[in-house]
Amino acid sequence: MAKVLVVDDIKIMRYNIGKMLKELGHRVVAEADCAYNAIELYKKYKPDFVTMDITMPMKHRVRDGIEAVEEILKYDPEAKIIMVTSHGEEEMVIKAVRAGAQNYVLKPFTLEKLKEVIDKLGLEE
Amino acid sequence: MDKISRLLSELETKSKGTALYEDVSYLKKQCSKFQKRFEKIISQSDAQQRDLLKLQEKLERTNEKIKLLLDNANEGFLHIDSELTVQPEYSKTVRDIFLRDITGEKFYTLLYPDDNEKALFYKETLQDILSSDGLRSEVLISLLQKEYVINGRVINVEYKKLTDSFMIILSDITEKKRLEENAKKESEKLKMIVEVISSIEQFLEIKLSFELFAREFEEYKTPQKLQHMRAKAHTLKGLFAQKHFLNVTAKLHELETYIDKSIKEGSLAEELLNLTPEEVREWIEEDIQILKNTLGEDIFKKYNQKCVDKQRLKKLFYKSLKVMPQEYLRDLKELQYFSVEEFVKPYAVLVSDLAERMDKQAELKIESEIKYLPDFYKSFLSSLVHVFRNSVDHGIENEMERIEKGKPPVGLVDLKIYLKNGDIVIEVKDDGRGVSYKRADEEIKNMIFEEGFSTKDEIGTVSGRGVGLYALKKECENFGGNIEVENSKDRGLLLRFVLPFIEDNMSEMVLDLTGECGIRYFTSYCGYITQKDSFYKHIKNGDEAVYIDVDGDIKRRIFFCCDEPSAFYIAKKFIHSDSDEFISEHIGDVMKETANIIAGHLIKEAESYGININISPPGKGKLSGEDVFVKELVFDEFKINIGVKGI
Repeated sequence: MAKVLVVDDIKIMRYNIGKMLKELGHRVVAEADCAYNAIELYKKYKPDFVTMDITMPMKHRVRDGIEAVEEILKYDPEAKIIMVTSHGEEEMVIKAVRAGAQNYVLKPFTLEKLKEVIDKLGLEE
Repeated sequence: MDKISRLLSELETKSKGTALYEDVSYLKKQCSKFQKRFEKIISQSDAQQRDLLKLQEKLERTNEKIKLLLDNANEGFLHIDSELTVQPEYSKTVRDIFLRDITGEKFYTLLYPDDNEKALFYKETLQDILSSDGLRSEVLISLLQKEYVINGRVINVEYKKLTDSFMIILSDITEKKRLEENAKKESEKLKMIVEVISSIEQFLEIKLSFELFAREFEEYKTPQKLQHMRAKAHTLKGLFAQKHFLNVTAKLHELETYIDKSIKEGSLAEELLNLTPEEVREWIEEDIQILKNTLGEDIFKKYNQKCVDKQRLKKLFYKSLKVMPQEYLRDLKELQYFSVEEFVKPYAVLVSDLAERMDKQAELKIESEIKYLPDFYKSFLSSLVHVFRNSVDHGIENEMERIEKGKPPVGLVDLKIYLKNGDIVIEVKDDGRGVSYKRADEEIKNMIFEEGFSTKDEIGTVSGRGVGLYALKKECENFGGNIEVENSKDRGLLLRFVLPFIEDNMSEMVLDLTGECGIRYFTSYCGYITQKDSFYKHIKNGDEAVYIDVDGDIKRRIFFCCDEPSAFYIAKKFIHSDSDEFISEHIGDVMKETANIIAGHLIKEAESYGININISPPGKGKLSGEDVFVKELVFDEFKINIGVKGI
């Protein structure tokens, strides 16, 4: 069981992802609705991994998921981040992965797909 | 080595006269060259081990190329080195794509000849992939752009990472794309019709608004009322556009230009003057005809009787699935969600329009926490029309009465949609007079959702037949949801619908297809059984059931379960025996066999939608769980529940 931080500006998406994570036996320790809160909550809860929406409205000058990835990795170079993306956002995901995110899932995704991506993170038991 | 030579010779003979021939002979020559050198080195001394290793590595690469060539016989391939420069050995197809020799060119500029920024971004990304390994390079490769238009052809680009270079496979998918586009267009048309029908109640309200506008058209035709007419026309145009009613939208747009012209000139333009209410009324006919052509003449009549033939709608939707190529299934799933906000927006206009028709004033305030919902919630939200009608007709008082009561003159209807404990809550609250009976909320609820209930004696044009709220209750029950009512005399009425949040469209689809197979099986294979009804229901306590697991493109567990008399009936039909005892003994086996046969039909049915599945042998288990979708098929003689859940 891993501790997870779910980041998405849309509540129903956080709810959906949270539900899937629970089914996979993980625990959502915190939810953030913007990139800024994501960074703050990461520092507070030190989750085992993060699911990060890529486009979110700007708050406190933190622009989007990519910037949150950069900030989180600055704080914890070992951080594990999965980008949650839509069709057509490939270039932004490339940027996020090059910034240090491990993997991504394309919305809408299945439980199996999410599991596959989490398994590839190589989390310690 | 010998094996490769043999393989290549064989391939060379076979490919004679095809585009592949050149590639194969080239590789064969390379291969025999390597082979000769290889043998020479072997015969020499150990001192040349290093050369040998180098050569072996090169040979490996050639092997890889041969393999790729064999795997992708119709595709062009090229090799780019660590500097991302195109190497001289590339296949003929590549030349055909670029229409020139591209040796020595940078691959990223070939892809983005006119976009330096993008070319640079791709250069960096490709270099990043080369210098990273494992998951990272795999993830990045999967994100690279796949399709490019090169010399007017659509080219698919695929990357295979070698030790410090890339093998790139190009394929011309222009024709495939064209076919896909056509399929997409066809399904767009279907989608449009589905859109209208799945929100038929909302649409009928819009249609009514339009008809009233047409009827009163003559009255609007005075210079004083031009602004009013313009606002109306504009609103209707927006509403129809949202429902893809292209013809009437265009006509209303035209009308707007005439009105603008009239306003500008200060007198009625000739086009406007000559327009009759009958002509305006006709505008909608063309679109309606398209609907009728697809869905049958009786589509609106059917609605008036009871409710829309949702089965027909579903079929139509799945038909649109059928014409979609496999890779669009994912996109399509995305389409199966709708924007709640967009969908309920027209209600704001409809509420004030309704109020105006009754010489009242009312305003709808919409607050939705939920942005997207699966399509099958649409019909419920569409039925909300009845609640709004009810609020405006029976709840909201006229201006005089409101002022006397010390209320603001404009009545307020509040629509709130939010999530609570995993359920979807839809609240409609008005600040009208409430229900005047002195009864408990529960009793009022039972009354107003009863069939045929109306708080008014005479039947109004807008509401008052009481059919609407009853239909809503039925709809709510089918979802396994419930209704709460809070009544407060002179302060207003609140209706709260709590629906379980279901978001598994695939289960719904599997259930529908299985249901269809079941109906077909029971009606045509089991003799004279006639189907009476089929509806969704919610199951809380598990019943004993036979289940079959579906595997493949879709993974689900399908349950079949029915009560004892029904099971006995099915078994009797199946066994053809007069001994009741004998039949009873074999009920279990018959149920398993029945499940097996229906699931067998399902494989074929799914296949016709481009979905490939396998089925497991039947097992026994309990039909339960929160995520189970259940449909009850009712026949004259028995009923059977079919359930679907994820595994």
